[in-house]
Amino acid sequence: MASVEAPERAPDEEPFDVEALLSRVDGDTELLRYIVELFLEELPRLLSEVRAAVAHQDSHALDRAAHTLRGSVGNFHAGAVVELALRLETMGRDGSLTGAKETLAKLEHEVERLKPALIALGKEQLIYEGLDR
Amino acid sequence: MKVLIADDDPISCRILESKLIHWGYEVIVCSDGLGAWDVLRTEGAPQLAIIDWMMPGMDGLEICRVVREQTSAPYTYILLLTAKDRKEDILTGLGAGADDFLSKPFDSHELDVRLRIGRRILDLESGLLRSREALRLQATHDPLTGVWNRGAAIQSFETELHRSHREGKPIALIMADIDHFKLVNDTYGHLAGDAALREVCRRMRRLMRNYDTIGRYGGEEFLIVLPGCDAAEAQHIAERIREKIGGHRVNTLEGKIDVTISLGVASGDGIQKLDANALIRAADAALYRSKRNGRNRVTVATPAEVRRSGMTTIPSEPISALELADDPLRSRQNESPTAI
Repeated sequence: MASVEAPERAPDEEPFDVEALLSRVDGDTELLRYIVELFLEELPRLLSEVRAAVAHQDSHALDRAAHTLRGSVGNFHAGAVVELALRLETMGRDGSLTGAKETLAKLEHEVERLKPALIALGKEQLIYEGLDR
Repeated sequence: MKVLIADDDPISCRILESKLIHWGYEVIVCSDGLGAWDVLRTEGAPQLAIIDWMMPGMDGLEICRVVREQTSAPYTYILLLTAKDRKEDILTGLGAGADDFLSKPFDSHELDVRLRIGRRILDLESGLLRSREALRLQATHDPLTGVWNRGAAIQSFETELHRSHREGKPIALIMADIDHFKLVNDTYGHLAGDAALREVCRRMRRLMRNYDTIGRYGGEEFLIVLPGCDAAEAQHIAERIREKIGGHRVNTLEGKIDVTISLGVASGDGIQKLDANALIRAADAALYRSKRNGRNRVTVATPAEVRRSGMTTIPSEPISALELADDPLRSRQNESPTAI
């Protein structure tokens, strides 16, 4: 494929790779719950920094903020959000913010899909854990 | 093994920490670069470090650079952790001094293997450092008695003599030689002789201050350097050595052996410039007089004698020939074994 744009994802696709995530925490559900909580706490700050950078057309700040967000979301193998964050990061690094607002909107949309899925996974794991006992 | 994790992303930090603890590492966590640098420059710091590139305060590249500016061993193996994975980023990181690279989100198996590589390098290095230290010990110490060998003892004396001149402080030298040592070997065997040498050294060392040095100058002859001691203090120490050795018999597998020692003392006041050989010659001549006057005694070279030996041009080892000629027991060393 010659296209530079990342392919759009099907709307029903999982917002993150469950298996990769579980293997990443080595099936440690407590650790999983802990990092989900930590992520949900951190997320508003990370997002608002990206938003502010886009609003102020500050490419350096966008490079940094999107990079940090990408690193954090990457922990959950959330492919779509990671990809969009990378796109913003690249725009920031190259100093060309054309289309940044639209990309940010897509990113916010994906984040909204990601959040409940992560919360649900945390709970699911709790239930599994409960059944095990 | 201790590992430092430095990452400002708390999630990544927590996952890393959990894995490393699970693998049996002792983990130290820092959430910013300055904290990480503080940990790395303390003594006993972790030698294995997983460092995030983008961090507030001091980023991973800066840490790599400052760590590499330190030239002293031991080595710090740095794994640079980053979401930057373009080729030029990797080159920049390695150029700054990172040993290896791991992109975020990292894969567990890859991390495990890369940490093992780091440990292998560090193990190799510590093995080399140990051999270097062992070689250094071998090159400077007498294997039988554990005291300095001749070369190292003379070198240490020369260093101390320079210091004495520089600081204008006195310095004393004792030459000590076990009496009739040939007889000990001939009567009790060489193993007993070795045991006697070791015990004599042990007793002498116990009388030394920690900045004094003692070396094995020859077969049963020792050179003791006493920085800061004048003739009277050195004579006192020499007397104590003589008493400690002659006063108690030495236990060997062949039974208890009477051992005595003769000593010669020479000193400099730190003001008059003296050549190392002059002091060694003067102490040696004093030792020779102790032997001639009946052994098991201490003789101190007078300042005039020390000065005179500085003017003599004979080679630096006058004693052996003189003493061997005078000592019927020792002179037999030159004869064939069948003659005894």
